[in-house]
Amino acid sequence: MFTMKNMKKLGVVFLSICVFVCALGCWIGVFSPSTSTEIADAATYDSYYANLNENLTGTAFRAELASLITSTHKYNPTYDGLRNIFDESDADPNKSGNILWFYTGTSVSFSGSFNTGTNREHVWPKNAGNAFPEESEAGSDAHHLRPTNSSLNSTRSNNSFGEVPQTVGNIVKENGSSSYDNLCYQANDTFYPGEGYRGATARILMYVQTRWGDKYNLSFVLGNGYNKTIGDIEDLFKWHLEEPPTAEEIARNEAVYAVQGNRNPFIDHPEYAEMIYCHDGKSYNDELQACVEKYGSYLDDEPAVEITSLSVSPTTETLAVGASTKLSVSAYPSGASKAVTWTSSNPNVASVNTGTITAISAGTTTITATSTTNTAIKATATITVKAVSAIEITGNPTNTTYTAGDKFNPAGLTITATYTDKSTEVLPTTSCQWLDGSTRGTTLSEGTTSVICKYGSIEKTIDGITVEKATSTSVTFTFGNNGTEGHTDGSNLGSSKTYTEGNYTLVLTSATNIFGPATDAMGNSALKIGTSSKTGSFTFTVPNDVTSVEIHVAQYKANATKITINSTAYTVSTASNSGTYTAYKVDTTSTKTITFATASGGMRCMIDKIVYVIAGSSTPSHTHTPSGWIIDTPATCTTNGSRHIECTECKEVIDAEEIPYNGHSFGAWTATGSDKETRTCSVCGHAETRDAGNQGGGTDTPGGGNQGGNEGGDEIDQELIASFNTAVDAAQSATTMSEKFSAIKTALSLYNQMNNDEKALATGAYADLEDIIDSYNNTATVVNNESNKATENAIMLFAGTFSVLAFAAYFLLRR
Amino acid sequence: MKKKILVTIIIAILALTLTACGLIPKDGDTYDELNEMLKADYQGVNFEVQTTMNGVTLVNKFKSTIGANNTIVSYEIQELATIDQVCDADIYVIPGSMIINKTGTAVIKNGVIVEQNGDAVEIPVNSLEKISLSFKQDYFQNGKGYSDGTLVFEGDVTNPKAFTGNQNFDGTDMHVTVRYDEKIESIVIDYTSANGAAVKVIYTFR
Repeated sequence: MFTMKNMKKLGVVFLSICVFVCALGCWIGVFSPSTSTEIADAATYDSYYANLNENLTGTAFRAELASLITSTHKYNPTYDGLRNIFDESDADPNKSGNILWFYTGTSVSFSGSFNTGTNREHVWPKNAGNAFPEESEAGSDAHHLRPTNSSLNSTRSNNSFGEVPQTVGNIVKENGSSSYDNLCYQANDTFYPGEGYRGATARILMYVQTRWGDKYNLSFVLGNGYNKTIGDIEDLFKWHLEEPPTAEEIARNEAVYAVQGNRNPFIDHPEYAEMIYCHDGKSYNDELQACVEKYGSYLDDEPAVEITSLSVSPTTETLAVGASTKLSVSAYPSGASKAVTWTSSNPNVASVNTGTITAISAGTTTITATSTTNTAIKATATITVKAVSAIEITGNPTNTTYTAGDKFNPAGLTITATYTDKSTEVLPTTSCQWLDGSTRGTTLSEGTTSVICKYGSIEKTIDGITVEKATSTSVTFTFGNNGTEGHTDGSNLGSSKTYTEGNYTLVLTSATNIFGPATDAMGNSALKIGTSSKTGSFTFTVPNDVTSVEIHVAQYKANATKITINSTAYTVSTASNSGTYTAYKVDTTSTKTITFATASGGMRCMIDKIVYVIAGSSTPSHTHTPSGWIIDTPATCTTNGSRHIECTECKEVIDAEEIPYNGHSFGAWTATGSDKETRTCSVCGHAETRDAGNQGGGTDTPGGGNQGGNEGGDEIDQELIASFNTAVDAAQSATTMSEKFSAIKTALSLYNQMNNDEKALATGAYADLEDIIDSYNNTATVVNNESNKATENAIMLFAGTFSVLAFAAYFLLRR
Repeated sequence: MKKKILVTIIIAILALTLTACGLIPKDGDTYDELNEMLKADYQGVNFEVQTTMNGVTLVNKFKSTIGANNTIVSYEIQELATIDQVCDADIYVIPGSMIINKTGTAVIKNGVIVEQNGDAVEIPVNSLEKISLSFKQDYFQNGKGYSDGTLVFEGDVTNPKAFTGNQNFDGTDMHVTVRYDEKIESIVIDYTSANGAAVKVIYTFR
């Protein structure tokens, strides 16, 4: 008899069995097929690759390798089970209980928890599961996933791998700090791992591409990629050659092999990368061959020669602050590996990266090269850094006439530096940062008559130059069946789409939910971004000579649409059925990559064209004559309008802005029946209805509102709705920021308590609340900007005079 | 009657003494003195910027501690929270409080940040150039000097651009109070920004 009591007993027994089976499974899973992590002997090693046809190259050899590492991949750990593998595979050999974070080599205590600063890094970004399953297959392959610092992992995000300038501003924080052993750098969505982990990164990516690339369409591409692409194979290949497999990688390969049954072949046989990528028929073959010539080929390697000593050259060097030099390294006896890691005893005096020394401040430091194959063998160089106390500029610039947007050419000038030790030296003219004498920008502006040589904190002004106004040209990409790009079927464009106009291309990448074309009520066709329930987005990078971009956007039909362009939010006010699109301008002089997305709360919009504005180089034929403001779309009670100023001669748009909406002009509440009151906007006729006596109300109830039917729905809490309405009214009438903030919080809190039926009844008030929030956010932004500007002014009064203010200036500048 | 004459004489003598000491800036001596003091060596300066607008005051502070080999700077920045929606959902995130406090420290050595910890702050600065205050009689009205234990100069600035050396400065109604002895101890600058914010900047010199 299955009584409830018996059922409970059976449940307990069943659960117990489950727990036991799961525990057994986990134990078997983690430790099978072997728990041994000893280095495989040569026989094991050779036997693993025994059946490979090493006479093949290119894609044929890659296919053989893929087959091998797939067929031997007998066990794929669970995502959770990785904690048990990391314990051993990433253990710090010098400190028991610690593991080494990937990318940086930082040693940290690891108890198996991923909630204490350590987490699991998909070296090939999973991109929220769009690239491959997040927590299985490629998403839990121990050859692929590595323990990293959580915050660094988060910062790295979906960035491609590549080389970026190793400046202080580009340092990626680890554990909140910018000061640790192997610094990682990041700029323009590109991530540069710490020294010593670049080659390892490349070999992991090569493994992932070979093991999982066919199944999930993962590929290396020239230039930065996203989603299923990872970056430039040239950089990765270079890192692979520059940084041979380390003892840490080799030991790890064995540990993972013991669990999974397959190996990372690019660690065992670094030459396999060359056999595949230098011979796969792609356009980058030449570049990779050049890499091989420059950094050496693994294929040419003789059997390893044990290193006995190292030397670096020069062993002493004096550098000026800001200067750099490269040390060369020799290994003995001949044939021994020259692979070393570099350290500086005082990185504040001079830093070192792959042998390149950069002088930072006056002082002396010792640079040490340590053999990666035998860390007991080292060589050192002493670097003395001297500071410049004064500079003198003589001569006259050869070129004195420029066009706005040009950079100053210092040819003809001689810069002589006097050092703190009284010695002098002629510096290259590139030693100065050349700034516009008026704007202090790095490009010259119209009307400027001088330039500034900025050398650290020393500045010298050069007079006598002329800068004329530049003109600009533009290239327009239009979309739709009547546009130049010829979309016809309205289909989803997929994740990438390339358009060409003359010598310029527009490449939309990471595109989601973009359709071409959609047709509006005017018969115009354009790209439709987003669907009724999903946001749409895309990214594109403009060529270097494009100084700004215009994205012409309209609402999809007449729905309110919110968009973001490079994280800046806009509310699109023009309806596409008005035949008008608003041009959103983006300055691309410094930021070349633009990400466009529709936002929740208004998923769809249309784009009829994207315009590249290209800096010109000739003298303009005329000076613009401003037209005064021309209204494109008048503001209404509830929607923003737009207006612009154009040149009356050439019609070029000189300025454009939104016109804030006017708000309703309501009359007094009047009774309309036994229990209702209404008020009407005298401008647009919009009416609001509320229950009589509900003085705090104002809810718009289209279609007569809730008549009490609510068939099959949740119970309606009229008191909750009334409280919400009251809170919205309070937010509307609040006169101070804190009152408004408090009322908005109350209203949102009440709204979050409502069920869907109640929310439907509160639609009108909620729309008002959204407007109030928009208005509050705008005001908050204005106040923040005022505070920032006041701080900026305060800093400027003493910038450079006192260290704290110099810091503030520097700190804020590098944002 | 004698008493009144005596009081008048004492006041006259006191005024003459103050003038002789340069506390009443009639001939520009105090202005020159302040300009010279600005050039003196200081161990550092802390500053605080109070911006009041729409009934809200935001306070940004920078403080430095100068050590033998480096300078440690701490900052406290206030920002108004905005109420934003969660990505891909019509749900607003309700901030815990209206004002967000961001703090952090940085270690600077030879003008280079060698370590930085704490909250990132976003204060856009397009270009910074070294400028400095300039005390000139022509830039002030109602300038007066007095002592309340330390020497004090205060006055209304008639030409804020010239006084601050910043031609882009667009504040008005500027009032300056300087407390000093051998060196400047503090400078307090009050003004109204072009957009109507009331700003108070307090520099404390060491």
